[in-house]
Amino acid sequence: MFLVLLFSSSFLCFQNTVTLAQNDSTLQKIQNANYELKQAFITVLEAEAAGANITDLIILLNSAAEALAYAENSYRIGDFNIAAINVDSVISIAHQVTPLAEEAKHNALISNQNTFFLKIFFTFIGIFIFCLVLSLLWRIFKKRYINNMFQTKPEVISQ
Amino acid sequence: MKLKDYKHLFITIGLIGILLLASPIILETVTFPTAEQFPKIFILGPDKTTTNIPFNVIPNTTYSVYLGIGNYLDTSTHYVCCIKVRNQTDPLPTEGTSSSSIVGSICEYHIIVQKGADWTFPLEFSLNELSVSNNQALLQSITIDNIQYNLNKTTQFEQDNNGYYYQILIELWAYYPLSDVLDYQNRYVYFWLNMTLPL
Repeated sequence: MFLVLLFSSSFLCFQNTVTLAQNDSTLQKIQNANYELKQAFITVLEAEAAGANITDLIILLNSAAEALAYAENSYRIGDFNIAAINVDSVISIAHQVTPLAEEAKHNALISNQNTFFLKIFFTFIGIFIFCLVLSLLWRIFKKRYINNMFQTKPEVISQ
Repeated sequence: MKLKDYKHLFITIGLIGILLLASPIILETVTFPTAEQFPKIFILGPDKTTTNIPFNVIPNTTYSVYLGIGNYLDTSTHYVCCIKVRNQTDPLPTEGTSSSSIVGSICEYHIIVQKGADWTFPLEFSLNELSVSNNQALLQSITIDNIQYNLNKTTQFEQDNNGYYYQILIELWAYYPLSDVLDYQNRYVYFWLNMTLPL
């Protein structure tokens, strides 16, 4: 009888230890998933600031966010297996998003830089042509004005 | 007009022309004041309109609503929706002090919304195991999106409205990853659930 009690109590202790260990491990995984999602989101924000189109990345991030919520909510009710499965999904999507966001940011930066230099180039060309045309017009106008002045006869007003 | 006056006119036209031609570059370097920036949260019925939001509910029956978030901040934002169940006496969030309700959240949802966009997502729920005694109802659990949460929440019989009422309260929080801060946005939505009919 004593042996049975000893065995059952040690089994319960072992079961509790396993549950606690699983609990800690899942919590750690959820924290990791939160960190990964945060890093992926920061990269997406950088891509957005660089002017990249991030619509598709946001859709991907949202599927990760949804899985994270499901993992956290499953963890709350003690469903550690479901939590762990969803956490893996979060990390996988976050790892997928980060390089895509970096690439989008890189492309956007290059595109913005090119657009900016093109704008400067064409602005200077435009200003140069404008100044040239205006100075030509001024010369023509000045010439006509002086010619007109020479051609006008002085009027003598008799008193 | 003298020739000197015409010269001034040409110079003025020239300067205006140069400013107009350089305006695309000037616009890139100048920042204009932006409109008021704010997030919004809204709730829609199962048909994605403001009608048919569940009110008279029966225990163990699934109902659905759509939760929507509009992000009118200057960047895409990571929002967290805290779902709470309250009775008539539990406090609502305080708008004056921008503090959330002290009622504990039963579950949370993460949503990332792009700048200037709205995002809606479905929320299915059912209220389980309701018991009534001495003018007091006890709701033991709630199931949201197929996850059952223990609640054990009581509510008193409301004489004015003649029934037992619970409220689903959803608060909007924003998570700022760079500062690692979760901040209550002073925005919330709620809808009442009348649990009287089946009793």
